[in-house]
Amino acid sequence: MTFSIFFFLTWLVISIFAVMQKKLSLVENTFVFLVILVVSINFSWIIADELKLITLPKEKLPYTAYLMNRSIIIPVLVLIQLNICMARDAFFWKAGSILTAVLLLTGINYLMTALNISSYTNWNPGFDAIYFLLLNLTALIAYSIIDRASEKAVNHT
Amino acid sequence: MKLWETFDKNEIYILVMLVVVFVAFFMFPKKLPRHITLLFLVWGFTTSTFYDFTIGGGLMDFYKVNDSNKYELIDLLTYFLFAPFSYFFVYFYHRFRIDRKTFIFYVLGWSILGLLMEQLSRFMDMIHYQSGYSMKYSIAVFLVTQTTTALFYEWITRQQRRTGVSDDVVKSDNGSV
Repeated sequence: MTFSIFFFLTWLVISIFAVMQKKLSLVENTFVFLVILVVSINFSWIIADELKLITLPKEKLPYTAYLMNRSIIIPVLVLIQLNICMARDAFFWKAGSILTAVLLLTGINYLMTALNISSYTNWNPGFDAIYFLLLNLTALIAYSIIDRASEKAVNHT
Repeated sequence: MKLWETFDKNEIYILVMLVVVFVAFFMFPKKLPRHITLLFLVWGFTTSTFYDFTIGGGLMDFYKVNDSNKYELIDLLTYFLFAPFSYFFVYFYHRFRIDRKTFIFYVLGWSILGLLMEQLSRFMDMIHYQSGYSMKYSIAVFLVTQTTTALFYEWITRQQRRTGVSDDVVKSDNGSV
């Protein structure tokens, strides 16, 4: 059941991203996705496998659900947030989109513990929320880097 | 997190290779636009990280990078090694004007090169197969990764040509973008 729920969530975020109006180009979206994926993989490995702050499942299907969350749900949700964030210039729109994404991501991580996929040993949802806030800010920085690089390329022609 | 377990053959190999590939990266004339260069450097880094933390770690744990299954900082440098390789894959794809007739040969050639580099990395103790893993499984990994990379580059160039924004940027040979 846990696998099915996370498979559905994975399908849902990919589908939402596929059909949504995107503000970022293909290169920008891919670049931000890759940067967030690297951060997500490294962070989850360090807190779970190195520092043992979170306990991961030993069974294959729940572990696959954890991998889907780490490698697809988290980066794609951050990407959806970034595309929504860039749709308008208003501060409250941007802050609202980031906060909504943080709440959703923290909620999904909490769902992992509720479904016994992972368990917090020396961790809590508050730390998750701080991490996801920083992750969304990282996405903004990554976007500004690739945007600047793209502008230079276009200006040159 | 340690810098490394012991400084020996694999650490020297990684540091030498890093110097070689990054010197090559800076020496080669720039034929690709800056944002495409940046994207494919990150693409290579992310791909190696993704494989190592998915099939090379966790429940599967098919191979070990460097001296231990723990995360060493030298592991991070190892992932940086893959960034210029990804760039050069796309760079020569562009330079040699790979098309429908040459696509398969290009991907096969790079897959063979990848397998040879992997064996060299095993010899230098950078990679250690475990849990029943063998080279034949890497064939699938290289074919999938390099085909995906080439198709993704094609997608980008076609999309940019369609939008008309930067056909010259992507296909330019002036070397200064």
